[in-house]
Amino acid sequence: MKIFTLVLLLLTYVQVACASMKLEAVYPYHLEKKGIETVFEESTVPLYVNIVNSGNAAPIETEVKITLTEGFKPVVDNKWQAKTIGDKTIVTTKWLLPQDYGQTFDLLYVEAQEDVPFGKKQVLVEAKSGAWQESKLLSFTYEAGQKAAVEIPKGKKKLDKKKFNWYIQSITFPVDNLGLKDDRAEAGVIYVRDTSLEGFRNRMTGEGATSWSSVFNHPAAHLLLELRNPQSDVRVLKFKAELTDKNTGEPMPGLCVAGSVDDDEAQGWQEKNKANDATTALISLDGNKAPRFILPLYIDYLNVLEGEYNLRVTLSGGGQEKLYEAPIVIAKKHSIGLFAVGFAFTCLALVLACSYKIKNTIYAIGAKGAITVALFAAIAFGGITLPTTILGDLLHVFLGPFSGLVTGLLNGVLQYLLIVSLLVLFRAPGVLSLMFVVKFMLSGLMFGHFSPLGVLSCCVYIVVLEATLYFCGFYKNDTKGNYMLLLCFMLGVADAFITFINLEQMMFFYRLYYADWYLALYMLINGLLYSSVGSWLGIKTGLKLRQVMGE
Amino acid sequence: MSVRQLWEGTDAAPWMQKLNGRTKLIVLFLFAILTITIDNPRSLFVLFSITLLLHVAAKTSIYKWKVLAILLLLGLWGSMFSQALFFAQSTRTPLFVLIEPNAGFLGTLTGGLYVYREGILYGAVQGLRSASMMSLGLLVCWTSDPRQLLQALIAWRLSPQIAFMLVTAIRFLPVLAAETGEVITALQLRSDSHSGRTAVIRHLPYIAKPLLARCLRRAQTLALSVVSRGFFLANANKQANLWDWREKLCCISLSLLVAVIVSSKISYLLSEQGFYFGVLRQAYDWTKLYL
Repeated sequence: MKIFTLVLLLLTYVQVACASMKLEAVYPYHLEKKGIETVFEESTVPLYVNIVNSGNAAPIETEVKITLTEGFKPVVDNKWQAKTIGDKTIVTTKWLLPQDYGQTFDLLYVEAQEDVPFGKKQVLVEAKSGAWQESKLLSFTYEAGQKAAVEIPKGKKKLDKKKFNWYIQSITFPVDNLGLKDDRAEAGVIYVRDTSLEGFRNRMTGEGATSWSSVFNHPAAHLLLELRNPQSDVRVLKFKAELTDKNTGEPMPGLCVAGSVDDDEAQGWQEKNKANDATTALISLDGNKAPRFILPLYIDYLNVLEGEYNLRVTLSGGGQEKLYEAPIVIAKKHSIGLFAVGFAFTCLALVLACSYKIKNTIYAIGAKGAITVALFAAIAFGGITLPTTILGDLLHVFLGPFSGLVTGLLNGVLQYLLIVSLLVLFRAPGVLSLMFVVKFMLSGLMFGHFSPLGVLSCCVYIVVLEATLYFCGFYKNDTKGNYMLLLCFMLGVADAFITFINLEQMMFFYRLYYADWYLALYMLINGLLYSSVGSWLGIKTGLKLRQVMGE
Repeated sequence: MSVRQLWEGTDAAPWMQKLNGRTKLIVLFLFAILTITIDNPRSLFVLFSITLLLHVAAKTSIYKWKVLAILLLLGLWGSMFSQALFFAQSTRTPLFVLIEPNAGFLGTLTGGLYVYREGILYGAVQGLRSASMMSLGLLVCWTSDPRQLLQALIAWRLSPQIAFMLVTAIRFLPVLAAETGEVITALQLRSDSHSGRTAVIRHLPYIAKPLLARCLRRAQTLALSVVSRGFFLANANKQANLWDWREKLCCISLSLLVAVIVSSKISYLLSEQGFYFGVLRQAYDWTKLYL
């Protein structure tokens, strides 16, 4: 125990003995470039002060003092205090250096006044804390810059240069990563990928889209920011881009940052605290009079809504803030809708290619089968199409989009009851297609429902259900026990898929919106549940009807 | 006016009745393509107005106008209702909150359910598509006999067997309706319950089996009759069903117009994705303004 105490005391002593502090100061300072020693006429340039401390047992208060030469004034805020003594300006502040190790730093913007003689100049930076004291003498050259091309006429009010030392000239988007604008692309429109399914999944699981880092860490578009810096200021500015409501001007969700910390911590898009729905970056003015910046815009795919916004760009730093707003349109790529339509057209092509086989089916089931199919289709029309067309609209008034869950009893249960009982009676490929064709044509002849969506929807039903029956081996196996239960479930799954495709088609063709959870609910209840129940009832009914067939 | 009279085209203007079924079906289909191509609200409204003007020209009776108005209003209301709930565009202003986002499971599932003001208007505009199609579809139905449309399908090489099945289905629709009534009456009489014995909805789940059994018996009888006469497998009796050249010309012109409009729209959409062709600039402008 004594030895342990001794070692601990020794370590403490070594730590105190090794406590060190170091002052670093750079003027003129630039975020990216090093070794700049020139300050241009009447420009504002930051002075960088940094104190690195290590090994101190407790926080230490340190006083920082900067002595500016004649003609140079600080742009002070409440953190710095300035006073003029003779022809020099002294700026002071007090920092509390943290315990153990820390880096404490700040930028002090220094503005060159008018009529300051050019030549070599110096700035003295001193830091003092107890026994420790360190100073840096920074030398730089003050040179003439380009004068403004247009002189202000006499008698006119003189402009306040502080307000026009730098400003936002324009923003252009979308541009590529080199800042080039593609003239073929519409200005101000950003296309974002379709993440309806991922959005629903993430909301239900309560997690961020952890597997989407590669997508989120790639910008959706680039923005070209053009500034004007007539006084050749050197500044570090914070760039912030956010979407705002066109009417109210309120910030809206939609933009985010790519990655904020590291893989162990939250990514920017994954962060729980969505207080800052914005893309941010640090940019640096390097004295160039017309600087251009190409900045990435990261989209929060899971929360962004398509539509019209204003893109508000805010640049701030050194006590100054400049705003610029431009209209922006966020357009979503309806890739799921396109997939649904593509799938439906593929089904149409398949149905057309195999249409010659329908005659074979009619010959296979004979006149009795064909007439039975026609009568079943008539029942389907009278029992499903007719009530859903008339009563469905009426139910829509009271239940809105949820009326489908009621009419689904007919569309799901009765339709599959008819289909499956017919298939139990006439087990041949094509019977189902025949019934759907007759039902569709009846609907067209009686209600004028000859529309592209009707044709595509009918083809999707035919292809998906025939494929399900074929791959489940319905035309080979016997109608017994568990197999039929499995078949009913598979038909339910197939109908859920059909429901999804048809709703997506409707959204695509009629430009309608349905929430992701609504699609899921519809697929689950109307698709899986009703159709499976209907299929099971169909099997029972079909088996009973076989007795009538044998009469 | 009975339901049957409502679905008959006997009171329509003669010129509309005389139109060939093929003309009607082509116009109906092309019109449907137009309605799903166009996005501009004004153009959609013009299309919708055209269908109403056609009803005026076809001298649709007052009773049918009432039915049409009810169906259109119900359809538009449905579209407005659903879009008010699911509208997903900026800007949107919530009018009511139906489910709070933090209201338990439902809140988590839906992410909050609101009624959006902009969604109501959007639903009304988008509802014009289905309203236009419904209006024109009803015009075709109210001015045509199903046989007329069937003849048009046969003229386009519809299989005679399928045509026969369609005719059978149409002919037996009233018979099946009557049989459903009989089955319901029988079920009501056999019901052992004293309460709600006459309620139709109570007997609905039991209708299917007896009705389908009757269908099967009828199919057997019909099949015997049809096969014995050699009718079923015979080729269709292709009667000379002349298609007036003026109607044909009209359909060709409309098809070309629709093809131009659809091509223009597709090229515009492609231009947004980078497939831009300078020569089509005027077409892009035109599409943006009117389509």
